[in-house]
Amino acid sequence: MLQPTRTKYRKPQRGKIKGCANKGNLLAFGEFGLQGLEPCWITSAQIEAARISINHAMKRGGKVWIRIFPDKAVTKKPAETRMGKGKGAPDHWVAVVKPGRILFELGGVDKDLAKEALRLAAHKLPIKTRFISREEQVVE
Amino acid sequence: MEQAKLVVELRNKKGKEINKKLRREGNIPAVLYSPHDEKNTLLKVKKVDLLKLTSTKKHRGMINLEINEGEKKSDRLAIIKDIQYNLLKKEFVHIDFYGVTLKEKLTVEVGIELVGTPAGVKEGGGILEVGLREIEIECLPSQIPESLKVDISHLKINDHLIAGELELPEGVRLLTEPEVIVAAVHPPTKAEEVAEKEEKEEEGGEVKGTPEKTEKKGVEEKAEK
Repeated sequence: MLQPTRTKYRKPQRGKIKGCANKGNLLAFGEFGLQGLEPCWITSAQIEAARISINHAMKRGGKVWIRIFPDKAVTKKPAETRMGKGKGAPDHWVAVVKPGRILFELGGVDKDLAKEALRLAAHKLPIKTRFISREEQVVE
Repeated sequence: MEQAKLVVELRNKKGKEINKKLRREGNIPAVLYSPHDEKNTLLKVKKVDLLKLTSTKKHRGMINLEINEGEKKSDRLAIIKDIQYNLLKKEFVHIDFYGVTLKEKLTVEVGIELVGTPAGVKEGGGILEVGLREIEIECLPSQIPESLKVDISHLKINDHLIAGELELPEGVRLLTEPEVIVAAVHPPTKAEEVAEKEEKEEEGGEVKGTPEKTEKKGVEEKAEK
């Protein structure tokens, strides 16, 4: 699963997700993509599940680009512990996603196969998404 | 390239709320500027006209702007310098027109149109990767090509095409670095390799996850006791 090799601080603050994505909101590499439509945290496990489902659907041929990276640590206190005694230990990694962000890109496959692969991947993610292609990505 | 025509109207007021109202009425706010003008000219364009223009891909070249100011009419040559979009709603937000003169050279971006299927993809089952979809060129406004058509049918597996190899029309100078790869054909990934990779990754993931799982299980067992 994706995670940073080294971070400056082990336990970051949670922060807020405001507004829409100003970068990473256009297809940069492939022909087709999956665009997130809601703000959320996507865990490394969810990204990995989506990636596996895309690769499984495409079998061979085509190329996949993952446009998000889980670089934020989420901490968790152990079960049945009383409050206090400091912040919990890092538990998992998440990518902060704003509406409009491109999550995955595909290239080298036809539209139908890309649509099906990204549909399966979308089921592994906790937000609403939509399929986009290069011709329709700015104005329909 | 054939010169496109676009009817625009002058607008006097500016501001966020006024522009929002314009968009609700089916107009898109725009601005016209050039190094020869002292002031920017505020304009509005009908969304329908703009959609027609962008769908034909003529918006990349020179445009003849017909500026309506009440009963007065004037013409101006311009290119579209920038279009702002709302990518969630898939709508136009604002357009920048750049006034041009026929004698001054311009720096513009032109799309690359790949023609044909590479031999490596057809016969060898390779994967075509497009590295560059637009190139930067310098030319006179009247010489801006609609797009650059490039034949890639000769590309075999492990072959690539660089920006320096593109055939440009007369009077057009390439500004993009000539060594940048435009298109490349990669060998196909074998299904067995993919399966092996996935298996290894899955095993790796499980190993990483085990210490935490065992700790949690230990806590649960204690709680049950």
